[in-house]
Amino acid sequence: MSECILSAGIDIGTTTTQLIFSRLTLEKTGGFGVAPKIQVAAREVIYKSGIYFTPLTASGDIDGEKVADILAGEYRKAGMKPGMLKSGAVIITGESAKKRNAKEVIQAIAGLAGDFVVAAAGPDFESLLAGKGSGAAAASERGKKNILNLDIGGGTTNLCLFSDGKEIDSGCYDIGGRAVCCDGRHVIVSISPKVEALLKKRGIKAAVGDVLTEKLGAQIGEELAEILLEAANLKERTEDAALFETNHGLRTEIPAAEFWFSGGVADCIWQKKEDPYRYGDIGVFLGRALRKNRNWEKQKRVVGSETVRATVIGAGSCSLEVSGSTIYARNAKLPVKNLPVQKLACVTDAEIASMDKQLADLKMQQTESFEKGYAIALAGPGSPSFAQLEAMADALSRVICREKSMIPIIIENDFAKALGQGIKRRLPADSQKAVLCLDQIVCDRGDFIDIGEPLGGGIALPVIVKTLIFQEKSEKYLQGHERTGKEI
Amino acid sequence: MKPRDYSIKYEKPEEMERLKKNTPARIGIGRCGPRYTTEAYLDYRGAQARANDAVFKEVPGSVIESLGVFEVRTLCADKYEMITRPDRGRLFDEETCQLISSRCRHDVDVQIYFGDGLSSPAIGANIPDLYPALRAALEAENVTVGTPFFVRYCRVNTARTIGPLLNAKLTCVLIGERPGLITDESMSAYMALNARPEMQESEYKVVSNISRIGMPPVEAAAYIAELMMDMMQKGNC
Repeated sequence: MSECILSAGIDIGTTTTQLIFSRLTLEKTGGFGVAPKIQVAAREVIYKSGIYFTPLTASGDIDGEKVADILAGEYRKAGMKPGMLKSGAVIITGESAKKRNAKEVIQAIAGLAGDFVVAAAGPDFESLLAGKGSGAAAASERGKKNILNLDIGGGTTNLCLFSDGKEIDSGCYDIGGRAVCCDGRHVIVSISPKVEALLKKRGIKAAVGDVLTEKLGAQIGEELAEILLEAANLKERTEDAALFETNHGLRTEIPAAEFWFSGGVADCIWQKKEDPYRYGDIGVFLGRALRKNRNWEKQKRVVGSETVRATVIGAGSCSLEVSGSTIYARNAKLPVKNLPVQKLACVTDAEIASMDKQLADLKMQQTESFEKGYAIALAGPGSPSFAQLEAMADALSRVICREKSMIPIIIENDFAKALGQGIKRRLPADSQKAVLCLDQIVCDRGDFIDIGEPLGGGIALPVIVKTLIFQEKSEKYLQGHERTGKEI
Repeated sequence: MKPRDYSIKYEKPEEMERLKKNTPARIGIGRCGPRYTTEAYLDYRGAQARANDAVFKEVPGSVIESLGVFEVRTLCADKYEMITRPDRGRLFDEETCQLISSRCRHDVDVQIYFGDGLSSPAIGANIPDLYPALRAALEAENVTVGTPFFVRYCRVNTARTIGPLLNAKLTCVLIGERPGLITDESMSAYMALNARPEMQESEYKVVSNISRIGMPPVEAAAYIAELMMDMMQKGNC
């Protein structure tokens, strides 16, 4: 038994705006004596838009109206109506300066986005989507190895490290093809302040008005490729790399076995005869440098199965997960979007007993992320005893009673239905409070979560976890390796 | 419960670790010439013996006592008879029927009882969490739940006798499952609406693989409770 849902991905980047539609096939499995389970059986891109230059206003902001026009045209071409879409993500990616009016842009396209998920943009989430879209995540899972994906776009390079298909670290640098732009006569028309500062330090003369000779282009490409070596932990990180960090670099030094490239610049890596001025920017030079650089040359480099479209495919096709199939939902109003996740430690009896206190402490630290509702995430014991279950239900039912909005409970292990029933038992019989528990979804503090309408006749829920901070994931990875005493 | 780690030097220990995370099966156990290493062989024989024991050992009286239920037995005299005579493993003598009838509540919505079946460790491992969670979930839905008890030398088809004896709408036996080499603690729940001697085998609904490494007992309870509600509302189909 299977059902299909349509999903959209919209990526409004520094340089380009793109859209894809994909079809996700959900399969219901389960047989004699086994609880049914819904899984995403296939993710298939059914429509790819053209690649448009992102329209900008005179002041350099994104022109929301024009973006909406482009998207509306593509919807028409694809024969797609917003109501047909059940999932997806819109993200505004790339250079942070152009995100000033992200909110207005999202509003301008809200009608098209329909009821599906609108993601808040953030470099870490972009990095993750690009790595999933490029195929790096899948290759890491298949090959059981660590793969670092570098998505080099117009404005930024997004790094995401996968181990066994799971994201464990990410970083973002202000390095991209549009860092230096030139006109038809190869005269430099713009140069990013960070690149300017680096070149000055290296004694390379390049300013607006100068000619971008092939030699100069190669020099700049080489310098940026060197910074990316540092970013990828292939060279000791210096303050030069720190200068280029968008928000932060990789936080760990977990080595990668392969380096995957996506984003527009990835296409320039192996194309030897390309006119370097084709795009009027530094992109081709950067691509060449990544091919020729003697340190990069030693690494196993792979161009992703998707390059310039990696992020948009990640957003449209790879962002959706399905919860475990024994969930609990009563009076729940769905979908819910952009709920910040609060994580409680909840494995040992002592931790379970301190759940109230943990939540109170979190509230003290960061009141603002509690204001508009939140979700509680917990791993829980693999197989909780009835007493542990009752204790968790005690604590969580108190929280649910106290809060005005619905507080979804997201559990890593498989006991959502039991916990949901336990919570419901503790509410007054006539209570209209929403109780929503789902399991087999991993999320952490700092993530945001969207939960869609039920699937498969109500047995499971579609979920998008928007990862904004990777710290806990990499810590968990490191801890896991320390415990087994293996070198990493 | 997982097969143990063997003291084998792997060429790629990282890789082996990752593969092992994906399966509880005995992989990477090494060999010595054409045979298993002694360690792996003993572990395998150990699991074999545990599985064998799970079938033939008795559930200790202390376990039944701690569950706070009374005990009855089928017509079988011991485990061997239960294995070889399924027909006797489903029936009770007159006296036992009277005992069950006198000690249990009649005319309930759901009658739940426990049986050793093919795994005696399954009772102690699962019932303490499974049963209270199941009972609480049902009672929260205003379902009346009968008096639980334990049946020694129990087969699933005891339900054909218990159901009509207590006039329960739905009869459910939580029974030890045939053990494997990974766990000997798995339990199944067999449920039937309007259980009766002449019912079809296909009228049972089953939830299997309940154990702390399969479906956790508390979650299984929640799932079983919903399944029961569904059965009672819709009837068997």
